[in-house]
Amino acid sequence: MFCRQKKDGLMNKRVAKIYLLLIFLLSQSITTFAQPKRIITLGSALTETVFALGAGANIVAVDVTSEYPKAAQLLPKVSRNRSVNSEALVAYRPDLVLAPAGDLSAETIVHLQAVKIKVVSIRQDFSAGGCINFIHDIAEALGIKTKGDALAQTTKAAIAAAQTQIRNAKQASPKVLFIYARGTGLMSVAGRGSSIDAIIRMAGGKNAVHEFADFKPYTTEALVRANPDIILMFDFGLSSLGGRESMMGLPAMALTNACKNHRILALDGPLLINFSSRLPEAILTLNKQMHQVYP
Amino acid sequence: MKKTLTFLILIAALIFTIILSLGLGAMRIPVKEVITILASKAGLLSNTAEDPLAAGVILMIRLPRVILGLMVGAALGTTGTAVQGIFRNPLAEPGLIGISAGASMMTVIIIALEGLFFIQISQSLGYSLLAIGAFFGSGLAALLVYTLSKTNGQPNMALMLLAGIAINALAGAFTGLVTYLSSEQQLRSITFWMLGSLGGATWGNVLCIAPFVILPIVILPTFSKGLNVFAIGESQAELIGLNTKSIKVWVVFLSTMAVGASVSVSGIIGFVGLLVPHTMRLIGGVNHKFVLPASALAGALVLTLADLISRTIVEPIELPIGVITALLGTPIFIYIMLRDKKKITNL
Repeated sequence: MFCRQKKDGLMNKRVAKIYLLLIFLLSQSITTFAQPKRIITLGSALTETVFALGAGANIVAVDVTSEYPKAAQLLPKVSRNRSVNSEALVAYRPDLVLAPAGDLSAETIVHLQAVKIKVVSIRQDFSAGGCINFIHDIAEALGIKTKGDALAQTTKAAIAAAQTQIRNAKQASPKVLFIYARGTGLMSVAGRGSSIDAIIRMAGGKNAVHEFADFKPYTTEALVRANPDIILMFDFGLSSLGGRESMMGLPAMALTNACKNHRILALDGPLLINFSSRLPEAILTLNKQMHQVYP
Repeated sequence: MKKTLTFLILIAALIFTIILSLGLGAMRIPVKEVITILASKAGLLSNTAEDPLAAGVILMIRLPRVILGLMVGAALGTTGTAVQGIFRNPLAEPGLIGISAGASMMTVIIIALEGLFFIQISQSLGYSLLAIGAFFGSGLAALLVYTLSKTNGQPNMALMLLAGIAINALAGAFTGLVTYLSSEQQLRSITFWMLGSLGGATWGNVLCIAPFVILPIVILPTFSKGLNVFAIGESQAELIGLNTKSIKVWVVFLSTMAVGASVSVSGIIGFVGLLVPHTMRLIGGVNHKFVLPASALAGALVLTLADLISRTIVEPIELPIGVITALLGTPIFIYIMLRDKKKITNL
């Protein structure tokens, strides 16, 4: 094309314009070259943040937990976390593997580095600041720092707005007990320092458990002692117990404030605990749901 | 004749499995390219324009994994045979005297405490801390079992079996306790260890455990004659002039070394130590001069094959190898148990 135009005998001005265009295209291609083209994300918070940063089209595979946004559900699933097979990752020929810090075994990292695939482990703190850092870290790994700054900026503002709104509403603060369930045989409750503890507090509730940190197995006695106003569960958790009716039939459940007043919430798990760019939405959703049953 | 044939078949099957293992996996690499990569690595071919990623997968991921499978399989086969020999019990295996349980207990404790004070040591030693811990744990368990089983300065086999069961129960309880207290992430690493996998093979850890695993595989067959005499009964063997104490000590020591080192990288892999020696005895008789080296070869074959199945059957997910070996092993275990019912109930 360039040659033909020259043949056409066009003026220098035109040629200069084309030169400028070429230089522009070249510089574009250099900056896009620095950005990973084939990404594997091993965590739903990572996946949704990469999508939020507009780089979702470059994801070639995700882990089993990545279900948001819808486009992520169509992507091939590699195995999850620690049990991930190094070769299964390499087979997708990624140039970047994003994993939650500590999830990949040291050996898997050795394998990926041996075949010159970049691995970035992203640490996540369950707080408003942690969420912003999380976005920054991912954007940096993707080589799109400015986009990251913009997303972090809007997320930060949205979190602040949500928290102001909740503070101004001056609603009573309910005692919330979170129960993680995979059937009646496998139930845990969330204590201090867990992701769910953080989101309950940010949404204006109180965690009914403060005696221990992280998740501990559920016991009937602990339930009665905690006497929560609201029982919070993940939607799949409630269905794994056989729905609301069977849940209320659990021993001593009827003695709690929550059950007496039918205050059992079942929410989208990843939304609540991911602490990604969807944190503002998570805060507002939980707040709204809590106060629908606990005015 | 039959024995030579068995060896030849085992070696041929082993070579075939190695080639298959190097060629198959989540990443599709054409056979021609596999050969080119291996040949150019061996210096037989000048550098051809191959896919660097494919070369990386074969040389850095699959090859150490296959070598680990061969070493661990051979170690489990050999030590299984030797331990069955000194116990004169067809259902014995290194796991029975607490070696594996000790290793797994130490590993689980290290994983669970990683965040506390092990992080300091961990940083200076890298990933080998788990390996060292597992090795130490198996040694400690074996030493404890050995000390408990001594009567009049001689280790008694019946006592050793009982002590092994006790140590297994104790280690199991500790493991359970730590599992209960650990976080979700730690739980995942622990599960990985308890079910076993060769997926953690890197050149670093394979070379690190190689001497500890290979030495026992080479040395244990030199005890063949002694183990053969052992079969007639411990006191009889002693009357003939066999130093039974020395054999017992060496077999336990070498088995601990090999199994402890293996478990440290691959986790607990059940049933190979039990299943392989038996199959070999069914084929070629009870002479340890045959059973020991044949079990080494067959162990290597079974484990490499099981690993190939575990990582290809439900791609890209990898099944724990312990699941595959146990699925293969349990029916054989039950078969042996039923066949020897009379002998076992008369013990």
